[in-house]
Amino acid sequence: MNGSRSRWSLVAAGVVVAAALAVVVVFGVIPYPDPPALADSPDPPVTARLALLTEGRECLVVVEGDGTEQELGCGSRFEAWAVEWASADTLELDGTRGNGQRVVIDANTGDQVGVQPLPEGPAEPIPQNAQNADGDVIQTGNDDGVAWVEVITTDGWTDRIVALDGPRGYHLYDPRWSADGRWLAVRDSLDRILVVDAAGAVPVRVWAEGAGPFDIR
Amino acid sequence: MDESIPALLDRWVTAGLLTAEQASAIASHEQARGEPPAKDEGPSVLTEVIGYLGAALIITAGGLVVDQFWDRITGWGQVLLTATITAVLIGAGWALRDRETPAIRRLVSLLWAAGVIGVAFTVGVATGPAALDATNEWAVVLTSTAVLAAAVPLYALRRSPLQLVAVAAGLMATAGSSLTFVPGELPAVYLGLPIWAIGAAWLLLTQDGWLTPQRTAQALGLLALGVGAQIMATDSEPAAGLVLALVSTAAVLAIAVPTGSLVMLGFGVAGVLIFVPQAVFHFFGESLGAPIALLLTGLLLVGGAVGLVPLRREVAEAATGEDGS
Repeated sequence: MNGSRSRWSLVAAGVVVAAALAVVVVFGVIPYPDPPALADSPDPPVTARLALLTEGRECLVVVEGDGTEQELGCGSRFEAWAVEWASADTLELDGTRGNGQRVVIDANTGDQVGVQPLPEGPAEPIPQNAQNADGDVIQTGNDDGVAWVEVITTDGWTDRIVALDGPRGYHLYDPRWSADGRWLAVRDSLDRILVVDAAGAVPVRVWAEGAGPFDIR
Repeated sequence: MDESIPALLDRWVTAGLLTAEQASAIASHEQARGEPPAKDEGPSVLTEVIGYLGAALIITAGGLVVDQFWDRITGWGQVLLTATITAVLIGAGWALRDRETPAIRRLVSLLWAAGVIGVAFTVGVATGPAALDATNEWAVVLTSTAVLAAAVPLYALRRSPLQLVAVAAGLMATAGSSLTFVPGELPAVYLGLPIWAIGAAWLLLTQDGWLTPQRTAQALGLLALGVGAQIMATDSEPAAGLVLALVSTAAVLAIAVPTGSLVMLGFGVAGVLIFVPQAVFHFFGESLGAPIALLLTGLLLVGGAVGLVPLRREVAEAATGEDGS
């Protein structure tokens, strides 16, 4: 080291850091897709209902087809690792292995209307409805920053019904059919639940944000 | 025999080795350089070690006592307590900063490094749930920025290794925590790149004398360079990170050889050991496998070691030639 300080080294150091930050900003900070919220644009209304546990699994919430939310209750009674519609008016909550119960909840009042023991043996999540009544299967994936949802029909035909541009790493997962096979709910990597028209006629909209386990009816 | 400069000059003038004018010029020159640094007149190293040990025990005991009633103090009371301890540490260093004995210099460095840690604790408690209740992202970025803001002026006052480490830690933490504000998940390649760039910039400033002590500064810059590249290489698409890591390793070794920097040589060898196997596995996969990766790494290291000997000799010869000319 010669101990002499030059402005050249300061400028060079600044250029190196600025160039790296420019690369991060230009290529790394790509905006995430921002579909409109269902509550802001409910027309045409979604003819399905969403049940979810909030992100910290503290509260059970039902979201209607027009985006209005109803909190059914919070606290330890609703701490569960899975939720599923059992009928049009009841929900099943799978408790943790610790309390080992499947609790049945009234989807309109939040009252507990039944309780069943969980099956013995290893934890078995409530079966997920990735397949509709016709046997059509939904799958999700990501190609070069495009997160997509495809429906694979029983005759082998594949239809890509959603394709959202986003930064690398943005993805959709956990897709579910509504009971009538008309709508799909899918989670994105920002923990938003998106609602998708299976026929592709209605644009994708955000149904709920900050969601933990969920199910669509 | 008196070995002071005036006595030596007298003897050399008497022996006819220097003229009286030359002796006078040398005496004036040496006087102009000022008094030689004072010898350590403080405690011996053993005494110093015992002192630090005693201080560590006192701090530990104090920590245990505070731990017993910490939860009973309000959030802002906790902030006041940690801020007071921090102020005492930095203030004690400030009071001693003009003493130039080595033991006191080390003590000042230690006190100020502890003071910077105290700043981190204070801001961490202040932004925690008991006081400001900031989000995790804000708590981390505010704490690391405060560490950097405290470490930089202390480093400007005393350019010691500990103060430089504090600056580097504050800088890296501030840069890393700022990236947490990017919405969603930023791919690892974009997390590692700024850290790599800070390391490269740090090394440029070190080579030009802006950052001292040089060895500590070099080691910190090289560490950032390697950590940044390694973070990039953990990305789902690690090619860019691995290429940057290999290029960095080659550059570090290329600089280490002619300059004879052991720090750079050590980090360069570590780079070969860490990055070459990863690159071989990624770019050649199963076609080469582990034995070939190890063989390639070993060959590079042996080749480097063999190449070092003549290069070092050339450098030494060139230096001798320049001196003799």
